[in-house]
Amino acid sequence: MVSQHGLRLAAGLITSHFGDLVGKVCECLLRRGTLSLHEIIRFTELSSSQVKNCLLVLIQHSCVQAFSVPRPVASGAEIRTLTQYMALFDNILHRLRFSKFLSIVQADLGLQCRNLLEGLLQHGRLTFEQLAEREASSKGFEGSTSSQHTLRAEFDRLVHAHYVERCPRPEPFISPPEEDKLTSTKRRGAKAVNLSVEELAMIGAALPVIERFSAIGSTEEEEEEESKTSGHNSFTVGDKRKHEALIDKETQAVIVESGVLWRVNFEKFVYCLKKKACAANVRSRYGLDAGIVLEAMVESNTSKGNKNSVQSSIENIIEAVRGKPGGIGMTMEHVRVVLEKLGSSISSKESGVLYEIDLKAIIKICQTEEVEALVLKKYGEVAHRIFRFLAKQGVVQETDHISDVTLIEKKTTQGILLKLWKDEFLEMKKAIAQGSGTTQHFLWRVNWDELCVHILDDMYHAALNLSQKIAHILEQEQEALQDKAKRQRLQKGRLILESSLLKLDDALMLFHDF
Amino acid sequence: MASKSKSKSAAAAAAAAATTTGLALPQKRSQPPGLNENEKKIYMLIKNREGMGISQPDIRSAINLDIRTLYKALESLQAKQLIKTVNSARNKRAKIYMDFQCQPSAELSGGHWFTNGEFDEGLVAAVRQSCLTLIKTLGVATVDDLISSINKCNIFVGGITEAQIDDILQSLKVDGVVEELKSSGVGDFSRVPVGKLCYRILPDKKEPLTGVMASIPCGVCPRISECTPDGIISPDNCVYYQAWLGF
Repeated sequence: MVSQHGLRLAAGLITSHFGDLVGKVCECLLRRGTLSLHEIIRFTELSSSQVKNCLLVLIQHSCVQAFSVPRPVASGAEIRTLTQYMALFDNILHRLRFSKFLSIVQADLGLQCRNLLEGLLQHGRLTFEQLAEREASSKGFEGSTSSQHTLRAEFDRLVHAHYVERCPRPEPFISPPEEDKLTSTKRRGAKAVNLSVEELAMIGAALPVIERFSAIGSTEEEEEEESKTSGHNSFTVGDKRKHEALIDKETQAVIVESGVLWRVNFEKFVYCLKKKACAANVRSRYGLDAGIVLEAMVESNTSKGNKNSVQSSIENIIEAVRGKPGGIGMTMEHVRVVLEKLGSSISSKESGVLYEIDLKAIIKICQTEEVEALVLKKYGEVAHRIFRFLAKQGVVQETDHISDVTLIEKKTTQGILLKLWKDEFLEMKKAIAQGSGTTQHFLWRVNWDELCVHILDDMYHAALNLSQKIAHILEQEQEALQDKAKRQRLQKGRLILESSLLKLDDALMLFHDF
Repeated sequence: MASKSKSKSAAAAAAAAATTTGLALPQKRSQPPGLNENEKKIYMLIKNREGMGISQPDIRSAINLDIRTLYKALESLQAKQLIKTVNSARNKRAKIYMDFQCQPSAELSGGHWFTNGEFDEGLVAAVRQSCLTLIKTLGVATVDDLISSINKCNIFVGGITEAQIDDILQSLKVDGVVEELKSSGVGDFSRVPVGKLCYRILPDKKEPLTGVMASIPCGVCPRISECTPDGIISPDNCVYYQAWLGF
């Protein structure tokens, strides 16, 4: 469940990127949930063609996913389908991070790949042919065959690295759960009951991994290799291969170039940013080497299924470490010491000894540091000590005990606890002790899950305010075209706001995406 | 003779009342002359509590007296300088009655860190800082090291106790500033006997991070709950933003 400020932020982003009409349709979907075209028209009071165009824009940019469900009809009549539209909140918020995605690709694959990615980010989903045209027109010449081949090779690199993927199915059909129960096995039926129709639609729209990252010029061998590494059932590949065997490879590539739509794979970028956040945290705690080793471990990760931890053999880690600028001189012994510092666990598998690091634990440390820094700044050193103590204990603590252990006067402790409780940083419970009289005791604790939700909402609110202020300053800049000094002052202020928004977005991801 | 037996029975009644409330009476107590029966009962009860003292509601539950009589008796005992009132560090509003000759116990006065019934924050901060500096200088320090070094500095009148150092070390441990470990006898621990408890600054303890939310006005804004895009308080007219951006 996304908070009100989160919804406002997402709607604000769409409005600023695509205009008021698209923003209105998007906000309607975000607030009311999944709707049909008629319902959107009714709620937004826009014309049918306006809503259709807005939905096309939103689908083009992967901010909305369509799916169809059976429409209730009289018994015996022909089954008809109804198209539903759902807003993809996470994808909308990713629009805040486009500059980060571009710099990741530029650092990893170079400028040409960055430019290709930029095209996809700007236009949402494109065929390779459209991308090549865009590239040629930006350089002011017709694309020659050799430059087309180079471009295709660069594009394939993007796909191989999973930065770019084939678009999901446009409108998967979701059968009602009752039918599922009847036709499928008990296990599948049980699973389907637990999932919402939106979740089922996302599953239905997703392509198999082999198809999702199948590059333009990929050969059968490559696809087979891909299917092995991805560990997915290859029966669809077999079917596909039979079909494709009839078509010449080049012809197939041409068909793919003009007929297949591509889009940015946000999942991969979230993972890259997660790696960056974890590496930055361990670097600040244990030094530069720790950051290098953790990055190497994430890059050589062999545990594909679990996103909360990374697993790799020492040989693979060393190889990845040596490939990094600061890691050339690191010995195996030193890497082992760093791995121990990072709290890695060792397990023996058929493939040999594997080191495992819990990324979720590192993310939890990042979150704790963010909240503690906030408490320190907002409530002061003494409150920070009390909060830290309660966060560490995890269970309820009585006021007097908190005062005794932290060596802070009882009255001060009471005041701080009350303030933190009022601002929803703490949870409070009353306990009544029956003795010679009735005594009331106050018990306090940090409810981490609830606190994270509260902090995330505050972050959405802060991001919304920063965006609004940036827009406000842009307006002021337009008004102050004649006054150079004022315009420069405004530009300076806007830069501060924009860089703060980027940093705040890092923190948002820490609490929402990682 | 009659009055003697009467006073004996009164003492016995007081003792019985005290026993029922868990307040044990010693066998023999000297009683000052010139007190009426109620005053005697109350005085004996207060005297037996020694440094712990007793509150008015507790006296009432031990000796069944109406509030006016009790109040009168307590006033009279105070005027005769047989009892006095002291404040409890735990409960500032509670008035504690105590034998005039007794000194408040540590529990009543609040413990080592209370001076005149008030928590001495300055003293705690000074000892805490001294302990940190010493542990940093020595690498690893034992409780004895800290006691001897602090006593040399004369921070504490009459010298610091082991219990006080324990309090400080516990708070430093809770704050995640120091860690407690047993001496291995080698390296930094070479001057500490093997197995003895000692303390050192946590190796990964760094300066507190400047969080993202902490560095923008909205993160620490006291009016954030009233701030809306088009409201009286909004980012467009926010004074904190103006100050932050230097407008």
